[in-house]
Amino acid sequence: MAKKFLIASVLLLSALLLGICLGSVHIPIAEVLRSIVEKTRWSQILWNVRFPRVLLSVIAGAGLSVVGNAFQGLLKNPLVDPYLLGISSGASFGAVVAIFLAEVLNASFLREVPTLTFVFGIVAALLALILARRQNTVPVTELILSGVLINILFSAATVLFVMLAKRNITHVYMWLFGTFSGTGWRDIPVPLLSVAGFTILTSGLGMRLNAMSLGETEAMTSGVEVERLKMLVYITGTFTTAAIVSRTGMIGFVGLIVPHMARRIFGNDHRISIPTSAVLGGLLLCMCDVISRTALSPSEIPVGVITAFVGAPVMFVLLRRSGRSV
Amino acid sequence: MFDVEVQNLLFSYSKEITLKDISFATDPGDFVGILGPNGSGKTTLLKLIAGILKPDKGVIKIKGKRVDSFKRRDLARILGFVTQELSPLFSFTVHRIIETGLIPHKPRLFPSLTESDENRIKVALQNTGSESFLKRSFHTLSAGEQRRVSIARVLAQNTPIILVDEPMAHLDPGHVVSISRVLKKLSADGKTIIAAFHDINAAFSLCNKILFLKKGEMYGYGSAEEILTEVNLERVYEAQFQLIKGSDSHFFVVPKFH
Repeated sequence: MAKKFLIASVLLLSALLLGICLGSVHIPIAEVLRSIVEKTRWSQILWNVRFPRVLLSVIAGAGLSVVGNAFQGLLKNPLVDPYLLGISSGASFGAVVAIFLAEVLNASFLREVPTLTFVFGIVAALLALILARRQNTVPVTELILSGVLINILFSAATVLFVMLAKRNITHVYMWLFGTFSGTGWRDIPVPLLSVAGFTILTSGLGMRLNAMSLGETEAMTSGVEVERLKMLVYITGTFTTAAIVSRTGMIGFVGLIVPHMARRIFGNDHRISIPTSAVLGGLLLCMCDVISRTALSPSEIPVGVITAFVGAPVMFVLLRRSGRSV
Repeated sequence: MFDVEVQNLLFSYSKEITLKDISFATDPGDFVGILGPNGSGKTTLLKLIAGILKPDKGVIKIKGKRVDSFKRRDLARILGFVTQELSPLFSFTVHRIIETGLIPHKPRLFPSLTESDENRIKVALQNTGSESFLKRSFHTLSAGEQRRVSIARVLAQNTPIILVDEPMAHLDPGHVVSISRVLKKLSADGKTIIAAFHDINAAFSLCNKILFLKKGEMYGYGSAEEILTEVNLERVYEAQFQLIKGSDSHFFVVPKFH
């Protein structure tokens, strides 16, 4: 176990370094290391573009994976992802509104600031929670159905808005598949703090999440305040997801599949699978971002496309090798 | 003070009443078997006692205190519940499953297991005859072995009152005997047990009290000999039975098929 974790950590560090070196301009590793201690001709591009971008890709991968893992355990459903509560469509709608207003009002700051995407993501999730609530409880089936409803509603609103806007807002589509393009240091603190906080919190709650994976009745009679735990994880998980997607756009697949990868490699105990999901998620998304910006350089492929192409075969190999159920 | 006290209980899932006029009390060390046909409300009654469901009317007290006034954690230190079927989403090892029984005794965040916790897990496994399963994946166990692990999980919880839902359901005769032995030992150790049964003979041989339910109403509550008569069995199950005395003076209930 420790050996596997060490290998994953070394791979993550290597991916970080690779992500910093590779791009539209390849920077030799020696120059990267030199730029950390002194000013070189690469310093500008490294410090202002590559470092924050690579860092955000790791944070986003880690965060989406950890939220996906916690939600799957909490809801006893292996098909759940961080966008369960409709946060994806809410945030998408917010992004379209922000981009449209930026065009119409010629206010470029709206496009820069992810406030609207964050707010609409949270609003969508809260609506799903309110819709699902029954007599101080949030039943799992109702919650999943409410999430689907909210997703449909906001997706329809997004399409309608794009049609009515009658403007060329093609970069909306880039956002809808996720991108780390244009990432700066200002994009780091909120996702970093929320992902770190959520990872620590849910790792600490790991034994309770294990009990939840046995069933709500078992968890309740083992002394878990089930409804309180669910609300705590839903709300903090939703906040974490919103903090990520408001800066990166919609990155699918990672939050669904990385938790399963972590469980296959490190075991099902949430105390282990949550922190290891963070490492594997960071590694996967960092690598995918490198591919997305180098494969068709100077063009960039949306990172969500790469996560699907890379993640699916990796998961397939793991499924074949382990040959057991989740 | 009674371990479990139920007064004038009324409960319905929707408009149809599931349980009504249920009143009974158990003394410490009692082994109460809840018997009744399918749909008579046995599992519902256990869930109400465990505080998972809330009654429409009536009062349930555990050790003299209303069940709804307990914090989950405090209730879980007194009352454990072996559900009918444990179906973990992921393939946990038996150790991981049993340690969840320790939750009410550990801190909420970052609980770590001490040597005495590990001992408690070991004893729970020994008492259910499942010590060899410790490192095995739960999904690889047979139904009977899984049932023993479910009981061990609640034993690790170390509660004076244990509720058990259909302990012998879907088990072959060999596993029925082994689970019976486990329950008998728990009762001999002084635990108060309330268990829902389909197997009348198992209830007859294990329980000192029987709560007989028919269509959500209490048909009778008392000793097994007093309640499980041919007449009562026929009225509750709407089928004919014969009571046969065995060589060790125990009675056996045999349904009349012809």
